[in-house]
Amino acid sequence: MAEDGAHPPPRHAPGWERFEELHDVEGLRRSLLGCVSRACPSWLSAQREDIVQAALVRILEALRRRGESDRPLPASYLWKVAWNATIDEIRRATRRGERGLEDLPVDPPDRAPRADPGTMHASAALGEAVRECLAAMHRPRRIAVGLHLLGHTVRELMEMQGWNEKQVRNLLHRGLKDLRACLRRKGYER
Amino acid sequence: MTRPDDIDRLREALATPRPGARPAGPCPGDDVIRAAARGELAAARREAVVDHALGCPDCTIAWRLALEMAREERGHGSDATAVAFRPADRAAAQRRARRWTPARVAVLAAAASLALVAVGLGVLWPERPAPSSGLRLAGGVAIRSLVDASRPLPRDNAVLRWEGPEVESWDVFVTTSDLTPIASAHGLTEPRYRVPPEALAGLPPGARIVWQVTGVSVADRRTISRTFVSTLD
Ligand SMILES: [Zn+2]
Repeated sequence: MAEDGAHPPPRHAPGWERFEELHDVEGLRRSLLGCVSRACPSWLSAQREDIVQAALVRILEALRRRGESDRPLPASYLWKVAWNATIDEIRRATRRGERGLEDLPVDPPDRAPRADPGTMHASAALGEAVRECLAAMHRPRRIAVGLHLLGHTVRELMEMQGWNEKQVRNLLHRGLKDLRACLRRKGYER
Repeated sequence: MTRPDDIDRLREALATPRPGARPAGPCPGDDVIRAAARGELAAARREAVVDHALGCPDCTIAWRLALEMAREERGHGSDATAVAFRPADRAAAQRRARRWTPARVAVLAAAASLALVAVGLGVLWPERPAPSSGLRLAGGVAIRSLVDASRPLPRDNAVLRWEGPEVESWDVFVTTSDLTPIASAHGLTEPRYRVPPEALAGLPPGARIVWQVTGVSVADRRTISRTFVSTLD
């Protein structure tokens, strides 16, 4: 029987059916896939579905170990379990990717990282340049730009830092201007 | 790299490790990063974690994941992003399932594109399809893909096929691997769907498409498949 691409649900896992009855597992799978896709750099993107699949199995295992797989639990608690499972899987995938990059000359092609190594090296070099530029920036600007680069929106910056909108926009405007100027000095032209 | 002000590229760069390079100090624990990204630490401690994360690709990724999951947990303050993990609620699920029409998807996809431009974040799923729990037909007959995984789908004739319970009609929803909607169909009477070639035209060779089908039977009862993944030629 033909089967589709490589991500069957772990229905063989004991307790899976009950887990599915209690929780919106398909919704969770989608949520996690969205989170992992948005959080992970492109050099990990080929692995995101594997990461989510393995994380789902880990979540069930964690709940089973604690005797919690057969009853409804608060969403906040389950999201915490999901966090632990997913970050563990991302760290495993990251280690594989990093090892692949370091081993590149001796690895056969099918074990090499799936991202283009030249692009990865260029991206890593830009990352170093950005870090050096951030380190030289005034602290409030560095925090504002840094949080923005970590994914936070203006509104989230306001909530997190207790700044008003004008402050956030000013810090971001000036901080990003500093960053652009610094990167230009390092040879990163538009 | 020619566009230093491209925020996405800078984010990507901070999350890309340089072989042999190590961050200045030890990494904070995962739970500390999560608490910091969620705004649950005092300012001084949080900012110390920010400083570390910006210097450490692993912790950059962890921070971004914690932030994304916090948003997901909060449901973005919108019912279009129903929080997963909610216990199965048949009535609510059916209401969501009814909203999942091609016209609705198109409108939501357009809205998502606008939101994307507005916030400069990653791809948004326009609306979460109804959960599978609590929606199976009696007997719980699963829907199975009949697409041959050993061969890529020809993009000029990408036919998705599946088998499942007896139903009145089928709905199909197809996205790219980053969950951008590319095609959908409603009220199919046969368990097959040819993805329009023009919907696949912009995808690179070897791209993966993600698809899901919903069987609709009498009294609007729905059976929803899990998500299938197929590779294009
Ligand atoms: Zn670290």
